[in-house]
Amino acid sequence: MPSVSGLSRDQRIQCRERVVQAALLGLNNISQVHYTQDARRWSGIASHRSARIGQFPTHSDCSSFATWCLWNGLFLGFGLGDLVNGAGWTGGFTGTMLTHGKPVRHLANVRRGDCVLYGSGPPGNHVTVVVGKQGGLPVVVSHGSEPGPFQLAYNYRDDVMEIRRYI
Amino acid sequence: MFEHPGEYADDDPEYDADAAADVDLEVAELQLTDPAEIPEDEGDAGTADPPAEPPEGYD
Repeated sequence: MPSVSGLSRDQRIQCRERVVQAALLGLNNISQVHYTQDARRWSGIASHRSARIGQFPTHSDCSSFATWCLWNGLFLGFGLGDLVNGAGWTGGFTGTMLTHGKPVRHLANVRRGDCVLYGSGPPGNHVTVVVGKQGGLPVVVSHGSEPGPFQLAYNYRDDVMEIRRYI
Repeated sequence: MFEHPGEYADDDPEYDADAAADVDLEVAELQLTDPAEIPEDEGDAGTADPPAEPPEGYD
């Protein structure tokens, strides 16, 4: 059975590295990554900002930030279509993220680049990107408000709905 | 951990080798923010943006 993305194991590793690089770049430029829910949230992808050369979006919300991170790995890394929202890399939100990719059942199997979705049920209301683990538990980068992005334990909120994989 | 209808990514044997390969996953020095020190998440836009013509080079 092919992986969610169709990438090979070695390609998935490279893809995850690019996704994490993007998330950490946003984290390290916290004062320049503003939070918005307006159309500017897609400027990172629309203006082709590549984390590999130090570029990041100046405006985003949680889902557009997570999508931009994955776009760096899936599209810039391997030229893949929009496996995250199914919108040609032009839009989406937690509701479309919940209908793409595949859920991960066990915490032990969570990998970098997986996304944690929060809320009381579909369509969800927040999403973060896994960048590593600490003590066996996922650590995420979350961009949910103007002071962010922040690096947090995946369960910093008590409404973790599911973890999904797009790689 | 989570119950969900349909297929799970981690049920796929394709991913079995990823854990050993993903050597950087456990990162002890990750500095975490105390959630008590951050504002409440403002949430997602709550809707997909209106369809737009993808820029050239996109799928």
